[in-house]
Amino acid sequence: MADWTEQAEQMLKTWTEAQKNVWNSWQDLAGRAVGAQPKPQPFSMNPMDWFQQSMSSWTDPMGVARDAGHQVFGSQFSMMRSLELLTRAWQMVAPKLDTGQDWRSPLAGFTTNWFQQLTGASDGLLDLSKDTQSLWQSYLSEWGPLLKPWMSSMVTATGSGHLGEMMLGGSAGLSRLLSMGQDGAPYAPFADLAEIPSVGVTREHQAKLLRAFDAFVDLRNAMLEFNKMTGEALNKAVEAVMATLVEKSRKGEKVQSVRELNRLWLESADKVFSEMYVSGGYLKVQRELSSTGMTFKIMQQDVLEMVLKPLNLPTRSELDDAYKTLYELRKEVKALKKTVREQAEKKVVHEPPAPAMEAGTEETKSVVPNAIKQVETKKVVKKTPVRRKTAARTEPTT
Amino acid sequence: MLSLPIDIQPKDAVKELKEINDKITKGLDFLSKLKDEDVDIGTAPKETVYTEDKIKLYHYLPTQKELFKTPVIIIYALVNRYLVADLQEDRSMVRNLVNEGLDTYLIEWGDPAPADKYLTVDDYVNGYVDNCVDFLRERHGVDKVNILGICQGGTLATCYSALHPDKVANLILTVTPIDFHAGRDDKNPDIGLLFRWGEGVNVDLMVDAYGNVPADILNFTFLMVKPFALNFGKYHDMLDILDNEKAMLNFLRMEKWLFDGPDAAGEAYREFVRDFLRDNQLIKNEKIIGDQRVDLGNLTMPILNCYATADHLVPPPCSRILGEKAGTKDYTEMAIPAGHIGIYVGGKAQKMLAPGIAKWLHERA
Repeated sequence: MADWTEQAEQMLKTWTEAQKNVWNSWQDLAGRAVGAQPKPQPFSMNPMDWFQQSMSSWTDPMGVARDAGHQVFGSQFSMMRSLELLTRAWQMVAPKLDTGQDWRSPLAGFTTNWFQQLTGASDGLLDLSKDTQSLWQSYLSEWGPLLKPWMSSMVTATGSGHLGEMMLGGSAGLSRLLSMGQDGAPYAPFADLAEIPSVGVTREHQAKLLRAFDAFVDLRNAMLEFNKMTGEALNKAVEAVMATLVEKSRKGEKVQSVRELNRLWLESADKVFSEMYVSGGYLKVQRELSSTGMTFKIMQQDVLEMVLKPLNLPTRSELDDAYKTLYELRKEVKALKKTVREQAEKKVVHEPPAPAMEAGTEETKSVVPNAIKQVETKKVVKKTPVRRKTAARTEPTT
Repeated sequence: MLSLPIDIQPKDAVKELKEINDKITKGLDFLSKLKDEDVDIGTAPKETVYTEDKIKLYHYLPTQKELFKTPVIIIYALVNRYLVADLQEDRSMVRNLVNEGLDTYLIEWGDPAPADKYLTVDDYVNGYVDNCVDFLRERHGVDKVNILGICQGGTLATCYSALHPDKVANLILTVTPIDFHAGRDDKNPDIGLLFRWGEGVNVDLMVDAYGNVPADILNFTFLMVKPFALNFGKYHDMLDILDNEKAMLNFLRMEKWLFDGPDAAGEAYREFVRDFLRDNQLIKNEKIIGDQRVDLGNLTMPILNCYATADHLVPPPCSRILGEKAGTKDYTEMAIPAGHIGIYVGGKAQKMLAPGIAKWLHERA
């Protein structure tokens, strides 16, 4: 009788073969759909990219059907990935269980690696955040040529390290940056230097850029915390599935289909996430992530305004001013129309009717409710009797 | 020694994969022929009878000879679209109401543009809703109309009715949050989770950053409540219906509704999250709209409060508290065995919700 290692290997082998077959047949299917497009070699590109490309050509490009098509392919792949994840995890857990060793710690390491590979996230993100120079370059690269006039000096200044940033910014965030990875404790000698005020003609512009950089750093930190927390939850979810499988194994129960295994995985994961969602720690991290994300967006807008103004292009705040004025004027006009209408109605009630010759004058006509409303009312009154008790069947119009 | 509890035999695996593959082939053939307009929602026959700025007041064309004298106006939420109330022909609260003889109107809020970002709850309640109600009073020659609120629209309807009780004959609420902090259950943490999240969000920053709050952010938040079931599980289950065109179309209609929501007008969103979700002012009679305080004691008209027993978004206690706070002596509850959306599109709900509303109104006609 094959032991669990052989069983797991056999399982994965079967599934790898099956995936290849499915992949090839789908590729044929999708290839036919995209017509003359050259068929790529199997596994020559990311399957999801290929299918998304195929579906976009194949279905209504703006439609909900296309989105559903993407999900169909995605579902199949995600099921296969889940199967592989859980089988591999079982390979790691079972021998530890057999020998009575701790299985949770090695499983956590395995799961973390798995999800990092799957999502493309890696320690690189963490490394990038620890490396100020890379982070700074990453931030600057987001702006491209837009900020060239203000950035060139900063790029030069920061090329050799932190000193240039300090001289230019006087940014409180710089001390956070310098202490990154130190659990929030300021790295005293540099933190003091970070408070030096900025100088020069472009001081305000550079200060804005650095404030945005502060926000960028804060966002990165919040993302790291968030990813760490969700990563831990994913680990717990795999652990929960393993615990269920162990229980099943002990009872002699079996999971006999991919769908069943998948369901077990999704339900366990959602349960773990639900529990995490209401924890104080998660709520704090979630709030921090959304706040830093939005703060960064506001800072980006500030920087963009700095770019747009010299070009004599309208900025966000100028548009907002115009919108506000428009909104207030619209309200005022509505209120005035309402007052005029009410006064006109009072006039009709309290005053004797005007001579027939004057009833239809332009002056009288202008004292009416809101124009749109009046037009619509007229239309309705014409079509529908007031206080009707019955109505005839009407053919669909919409 | 522990044996591998995953017992998926090679032949079974291949068979399962082949079945899925066959369904996908057939399903994709169907999907490839579909145009977006084929996934039709909101098809109940209607006419536009009043417009103001971006809003439209629809009148659903009657199908019955005998109509209730007092019209009913439906107030929908400011997030998502009203179309869930008329998702498809055989799953449509609107059609059911019309078929019960109710002269039915509905306000469509439209898509707020950046220039609409300053609209407030006051503009919606004392502006648009009040104007639509006045229009209907004039059109039908009645002093009062019936108001039916859906979800957040029910909250707005409640505020309106408390501020203008002289214009409301009967108030009908469906899955409506009144006490935004009620009904949370640590054993079932996903119940009321959205409100819990909403309390914590820095809505000032959000509105300052975005202006109008993008529908995508709202959708993403909904999906995050059950990330695996809603992002993966749902589509895994879709494999089962891929070869069933009718079921697929129904599925796609729901998808279309879910992901085709409008942005939310910024200031109104800020006010709603801050005053209703976070500070829970409505239940405390502290909410000020325009220059008036919303006093639930002013709700003296008959109230029918419909809630969904399995509602995770608006847990029943959030709605049912109204029975204790409203000033009316004629308060009725209707429990529908469904979820927050199922109350409008579920099979059982079709036979309960609209007929129940019609019966209740008939008793008060």
